[in-house]
Parts: sequence; structure tokens; C-alpha cells
Amino acid sequence: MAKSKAELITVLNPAATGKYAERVPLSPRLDTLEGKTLYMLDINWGGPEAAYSVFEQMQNWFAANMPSVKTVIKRKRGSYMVPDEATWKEVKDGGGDAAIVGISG
Amino acid sequence: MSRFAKILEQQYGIPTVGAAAETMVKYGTGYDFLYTNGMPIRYVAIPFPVAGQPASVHKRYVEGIDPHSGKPMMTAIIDALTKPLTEQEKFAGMPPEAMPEPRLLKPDTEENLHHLFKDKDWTDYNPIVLPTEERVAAMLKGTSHKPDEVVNTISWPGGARDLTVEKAAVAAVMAGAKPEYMPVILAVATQVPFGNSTSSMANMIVVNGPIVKEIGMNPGTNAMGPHNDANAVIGRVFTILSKTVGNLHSGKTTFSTLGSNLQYNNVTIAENEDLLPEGWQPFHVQMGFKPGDSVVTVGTGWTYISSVGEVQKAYPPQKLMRDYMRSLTGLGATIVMDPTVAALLKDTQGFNSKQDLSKWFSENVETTAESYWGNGVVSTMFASLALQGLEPYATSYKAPPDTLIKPFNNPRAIQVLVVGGAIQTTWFVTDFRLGRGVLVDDWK
Repeated sequence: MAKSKAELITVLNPAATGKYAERVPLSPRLDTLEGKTLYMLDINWGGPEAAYSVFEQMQNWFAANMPSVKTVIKRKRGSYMVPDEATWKEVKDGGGDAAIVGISG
Repeated sequence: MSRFAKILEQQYGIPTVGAAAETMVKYGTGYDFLYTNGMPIRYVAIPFPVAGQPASVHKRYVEGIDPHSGKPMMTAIIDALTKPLTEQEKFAGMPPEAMPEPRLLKPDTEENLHHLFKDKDWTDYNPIVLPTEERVAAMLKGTSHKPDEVVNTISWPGGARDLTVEKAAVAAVMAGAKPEYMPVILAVATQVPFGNSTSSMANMIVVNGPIVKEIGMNPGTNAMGPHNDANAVIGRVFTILSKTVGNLHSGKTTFSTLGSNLQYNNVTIAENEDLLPEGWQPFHVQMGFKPGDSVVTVGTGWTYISSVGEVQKAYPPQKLMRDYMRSLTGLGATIVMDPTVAALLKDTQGFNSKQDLSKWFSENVETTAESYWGNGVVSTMFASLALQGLEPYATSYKAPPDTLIKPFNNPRAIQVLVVGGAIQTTWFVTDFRLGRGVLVDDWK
């Protein structure tokens, strides 16, 4: 006998439970960027003339508007998918006070 | 990118701002934060496109508004690095657990459940079979593995979601599979989710060995068309599992700008091992498996290009394949050819093995340095290596634009599959890169 369309049926849930990540706090912010060293780290997404060129424009902006901020542009080693501990350490060892990392699309 | 910011913040104590496209900022502050990164990274959204634009456009972006905060871009960056942290940004430890997904959905009418499955984006928007307990139990008879066994924990794009044998059976029911497909489906499930890239990837699923005949897959005439139940359904399960268990949903966790129709079936093919020329091994045997093993191999790629017509005596097939391969990225290739093409290549061109042919392509496919580096994925992946002075990239990156280079310099990255009905000397060159094979027999 055909089932009534109004009959209630039970089905399995195809979705799976996701697990939340452990929360990690941000590091304390700077009081000001004046007189500080800001690293701009190109992760190489989009090729060598993408983020790097945007960072050059940011560098120009700081030179014109906040000249006490020292800016350093660096490309990380390898593609955007691989970590690069040497560059992160270089930021710290180079006296980096803050960083911009990107640009991801 | 968020993991790089997290390392700078957490390990080195350096205040960091992430810069990304607006869609990625939404993902970074939402799903990625909740399920993967756990750190409330501060972002600015850079207008896109960035690559391929002149410096004048980049200047405009920098002097314009950050779409994420609505502030001037440079103000947003300075604020992200100097504004004191909120209580949420200082929080450390495990958050409350996510609401668990119940095993069973609330009882409802068939019509309402069909609507629900679409509303949840659990389907490929073709009709599905609802996974009742009876149907799923019947599907589970296709394997000896227990329903709660974890086949694969899906950590990309986050959430470490367990894909169990039962979840695979649910997707198999939805796609219309038969229980005897389950070992192949479970082997495929180990490779979920689908290629997820803004560049609009797709997947290829290759099946080799006795299982092809055991479940009635079609490696012959119309092997790549919609003419066989197993071929059609197995590839469909891969996408459904990516959406249900993998939680890949457009605009939330997957951002392919064009998408790909290939994802409806994921180019699921069985090699026609019976019609391989003598000396040409089945693909799985090339990869180190035994001829009697049944193996599934999943790859990722974007494109395939057809010869369209018959091979011409004046221009042997490997030369036209070579010409068409110049259009591919050079990251890797899989050539899919009718058995008649394989026979011609062996008998008239002297290719005594697939490896011979792969080697010939690696030595003879050429493109200009300008064209090679003009591809965004190649440039994204390898330009930084060239700038570090690593070969073979450094030389071609510095070369004059019209210098000819060999993009497929690794013959092991060029695979050959023999598929089809021996009706016409047709072939496809594709840019699919096949991964490691999975033994189907382990999932019987």
C-alpha cells in the first residue's frame, strides 16, 4: 500500500558535529605606532606583484603621514600554504613591534 | 594566512593585523575563528582584485575605505594594532561545546524533509533518496565495518568532523547507491572533502582492479558519460559527503568564484584494463599495487581538453596532445585516452609503456616563460621560490618572456589512463593531479 504523503518518517542526519577550536588571546596592543617598526609580510598569494605592491603603497602612506614609523616589507619563503618559521623569527629579531600579514584572497 | 598571524601573536607577542579579501575576512572572523584558529585575529579587508592591478589601483585601495570596518584603510590598520583588547579578545581556553548534531532528525513528512535537505545545502540539488534507518541499515550490509568506525576526520576547513561508516552510508543512500558500492564509497570517503579553492577546482576519481567488474562500473563506451549507475553515483557521493560531513557550503566555507560542473560527478572513471596494450600497466599497478588489488585514486584539477576528432596519420597523437598540454598549468597532468589511441601510440609511435609516453611529454611540452608565469596559480605557488633563487624556477623567472621552457619537467607528474570503448581515436588532456591510491579491499 502506498504511503500517505502526510505520514511522518524518521531519517538519519547526514551532518556531523564540529568541534570548536581552543581560544587563544591576542597579544597586547601597542600604545602607539609612532616610532615603532612595522613589518609587512607578503604571503605570496596572487604572485609577487600583488600584496607586495599594496604594501609599497602603505609604506608610501606611512612615509608621508607617519614618518616616525619604520616599515619593512618582506616576502615569506615558499607559497602561501607553507609555514616559514625563519621569517617570523626574523621579524622578532629585526625589532618588529607590529605586523601586517596578507593578502589572502 | 590566519595561522601565520596566530604564530606571530602567540609565539612572538607581535600585534598583527590580517589583510584579506572581504569574503575571506568574513570566513576568518567567523568559521575559521570558531573551528580552526581560535584566535580573534583583527583584519582589514582589501578590495579585490589585487593581482594584476597597477600600482595606481593599489594606491586607491590604501587611500580608500576598509570594507570590513568602514574606516579609512590606514586608520583601520593603526586601530587594529593599537586599540586595547576587548574581554573576548583576551579569552583563553575551551569555549562551550558546539551543539551536537543528533543522529536522527525530527520526524517529518517526506516533502518537508526534502525541503529541509535542500535548505541545509546537504544535496547537489538533484533529487535524493531520504536516508531512513531501514535504507541506511541495508546500505551498511555492503561492508563489514562497524557503523561508528571513523573513516576520516575532516579538519579542512575546520571542525575536525568525524566521517563515520554510517555517515558514508547515509550519503550513499541519498545518492542512490547500491550496497555493493560501499567498499568503493568508503575508500573514496577517506579522501573527502573536494578540492576547495577560489580558483574553482574539481576532482577526479579513478577506479582500478577487479572491483570495477564486481560492481558493474563501465570502463568502455561512454565511460565518462551519464550511462552507468556505479560511475554516476559514486562520484556524486563524494560531493554530498563534502557538503554534509565536510560542511562545505558556498559563501560560508567554499568560495570558488566560478565553481565547476565537474563536481556533480567528480570525473569518476574506471580504467579499461582489458584493452591496455601489451606492456602498458594499469594505473594502480604503476603506483605499486598488485594487479588483483582494487584501488581508488582521487585527484584535483580544473580542466580537460578534447582532441575532438580522430587521430590523423600526418600528425601523431602525442604531438597534438603536446600542443594542447601547452594550455595547462604545468602543475601535473592526466591524459585520458581511448584504447585505440593507446594502441596507435604503442604500435606506430613506439611507446612501449605509459612511462615512455610521460617521459616524452616531460621533454617535449614547451611553453614560453611569459605564459608559464602568467598563470596565477603557478605564480602564487612558485614565484616566491624563484625569488629565493631555487631552480628550476629561478632561471625561467628571469628569462626573457619568449624563452621556451618545459613546464612538465617531472614525468612522474604526468599520468596516463586508458578509458573508453575503442570506437574512435579520441583523447582528453587534463590537468588533474592524482594522489595516493586507497585500497578498496580494506573497506569490504
